[in-house]
Amino acid sequence: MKGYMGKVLMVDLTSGNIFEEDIPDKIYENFLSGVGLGAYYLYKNIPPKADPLGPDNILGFVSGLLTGTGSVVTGRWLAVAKSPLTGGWGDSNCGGNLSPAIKQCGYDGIFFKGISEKPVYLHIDKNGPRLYDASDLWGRDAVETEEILIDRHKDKKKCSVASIGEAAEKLSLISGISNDKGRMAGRSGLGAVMGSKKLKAIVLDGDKKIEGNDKEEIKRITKEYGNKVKKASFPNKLKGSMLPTMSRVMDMGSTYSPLNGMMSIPMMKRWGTIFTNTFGLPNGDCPVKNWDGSIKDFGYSKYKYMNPDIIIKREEKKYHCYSCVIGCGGICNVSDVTRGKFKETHKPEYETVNSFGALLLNKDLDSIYYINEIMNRGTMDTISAGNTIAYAIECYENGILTEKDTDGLKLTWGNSEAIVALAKKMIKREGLGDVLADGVKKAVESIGKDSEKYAINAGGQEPGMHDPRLDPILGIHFSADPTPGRHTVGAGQYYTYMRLWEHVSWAPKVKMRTPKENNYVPSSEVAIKSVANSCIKQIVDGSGGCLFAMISGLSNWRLFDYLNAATGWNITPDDYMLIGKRMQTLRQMFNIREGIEPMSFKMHDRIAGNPPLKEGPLEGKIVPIEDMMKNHWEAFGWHKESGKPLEETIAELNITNLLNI
Amino acid sequence: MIKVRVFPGPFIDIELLDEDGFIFLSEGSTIRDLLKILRIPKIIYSIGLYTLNYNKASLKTVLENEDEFSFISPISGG
Repeated sequence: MKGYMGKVLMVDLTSGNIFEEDIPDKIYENFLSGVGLGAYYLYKNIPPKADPLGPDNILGFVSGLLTGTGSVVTGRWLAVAKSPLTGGWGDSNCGGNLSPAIKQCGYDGIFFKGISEKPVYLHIDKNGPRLYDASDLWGRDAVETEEILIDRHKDKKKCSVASIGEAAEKLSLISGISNDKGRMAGRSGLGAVMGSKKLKAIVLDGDKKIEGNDKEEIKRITKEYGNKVKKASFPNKLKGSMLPTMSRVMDMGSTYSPLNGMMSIPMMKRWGTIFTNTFGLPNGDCPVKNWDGSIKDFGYSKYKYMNPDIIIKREEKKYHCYSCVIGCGGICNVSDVTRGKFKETHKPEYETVNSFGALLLNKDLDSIYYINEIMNRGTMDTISAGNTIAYAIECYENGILTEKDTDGLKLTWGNSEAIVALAKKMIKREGLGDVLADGVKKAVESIGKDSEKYAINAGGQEPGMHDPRLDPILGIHFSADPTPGRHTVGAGQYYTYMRLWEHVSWAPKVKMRTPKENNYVPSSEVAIKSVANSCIKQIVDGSGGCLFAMISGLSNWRLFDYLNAATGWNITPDDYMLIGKRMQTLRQMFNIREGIEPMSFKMHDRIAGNPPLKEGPLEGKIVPIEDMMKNHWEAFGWHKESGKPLEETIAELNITNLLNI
Repeated sequence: MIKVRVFPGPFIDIELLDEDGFIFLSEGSTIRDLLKILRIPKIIYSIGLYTLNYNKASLKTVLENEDEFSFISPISGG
């Protein structure tokens, strides 16, 4: 009764053998579950330099240590594997209802190696795990596949399904894995790994109990946080149309101060992530025109169409991921706007709206609903796909691509018909879409070096829709995380909200009236903050926690107390941060073993302000990213120049012994 | 005197807050008094983008010692 199940399932798709493995307590005590368990298992079992799309790569579905224990906002799962997109450690985080289903089958993780001869899916119920022929499902989209499998395995309770669509079947390196009919583990190209294994889906229908050590304490923490979230709201007088003004007011001044993360919750409850559609433009958070523009290029006359209230009018149903008390999800009726093909779609996330909106100067919201649904069904990552289309448009506008290359598509900024057509081609790997389906870095190899200046990425992965020229610490995480380009690892803003310094002895306190310019200067304080971000995010991802709960503040969402209540370990936040450091260091060790030079993950010059923007809210902003990365590595106990974990750090963290390597 | 903890938005004049965000007010002070002292922009003031101890509260509410006063502060998400 420590929250975790104590074993994993391994499925060898080449031989068809399926076996369980016990995981010793000490692994959970040192790596938690979730991403930490995944890092432990993959480091031990994937041979060095394995082909990411070959039989030696291992794909894992891991739950979180706190999932199912009675804790809240701890229902997230991760896909883990060697990434075919970056060549290094790959993980991708997703919500929905799959995470508890993994544990209800009796496992903390379900892993796959080998390659099946024909398409298969895994089904687990009270009779145990079995592989089934999926030839009839191959070629179907993820939503259809999920509906068919739920119907086929109908029981007293609805089973949980994760599946892939056409893009992943066709091994697009920017494809993901879907669950709950379109929630996506989109990052790192792990859909292609699933496709390479001919694994169409997993269907989970277990009924094992999940138990924590101190249920009463978990209940107390849950009640306290639940009450705060319930009360967190703001007056109906606040409309989406006011968000740009609010953004401007809040961005005034040259200093910032510590904030109460709980006060970010009302926005999430009202709109979900889409409030950023318009809130993020006046302050420069939203990238515009392939990261080379600003609100000057996509002004109010265009971005007003992205007003979150317009989207909310279509929201027929709100939904919460498993154990979530915030509930930022929704289902939108789009029967009249998407050429009549789809009745509904998940409320598009901000990332999708901006990737296919401001980034492409596209004001046609209807096209975004449509793209949202085809990407969900085809299981293609909207962040990478939007960035890749932005790259293609810039190539076209500058004569590198012509209509001959695009099969007649006029790939001009804001041409929504061409954007929709190209998105479809990418999912199907048709024409130019075949070149673009593997993201910008691969596309440069085909289209030519001249286009590299438009290929915005970090280590091969296209970045999330937040601009590091506004938040340089975000840029450190884009560049220095073992899985680069992700906006969900850490940021200066996250650090200010979660108030880690109230719990962790070495986390620097954000002082009142801190000059914003401090974050643009490489310093040990900035480095310690980014290290703290990395460590706490590992703990969150080892627990099944949600980023938005973390940001609401660790004095509100009491993660450390939750973990102690679930496990009975009774260790300090500093002890947990050491576990986070161990998890992050192991992920970096994975990359080093694969031959990755960490400096090669440095984000594209354009988004570091080289050259700086000439107008807009981020005019002139430069992020000295190389020095910041080096400081980050040094503060982690890794080599300052190379980014490789130092022997003494690996020894201090006892990683070699724990992995028995 | 009473001591109230203010979690500021990034937009307010915080010269009157100490390093931990506390401000000292005379007994009987209301939310309206606090907002005036902090020179809150009218848009925040009029829309009511704040909470008192995580609850909605009117401008007339009398503050008590150790109260926590927070401004709505959105964060970018994905």
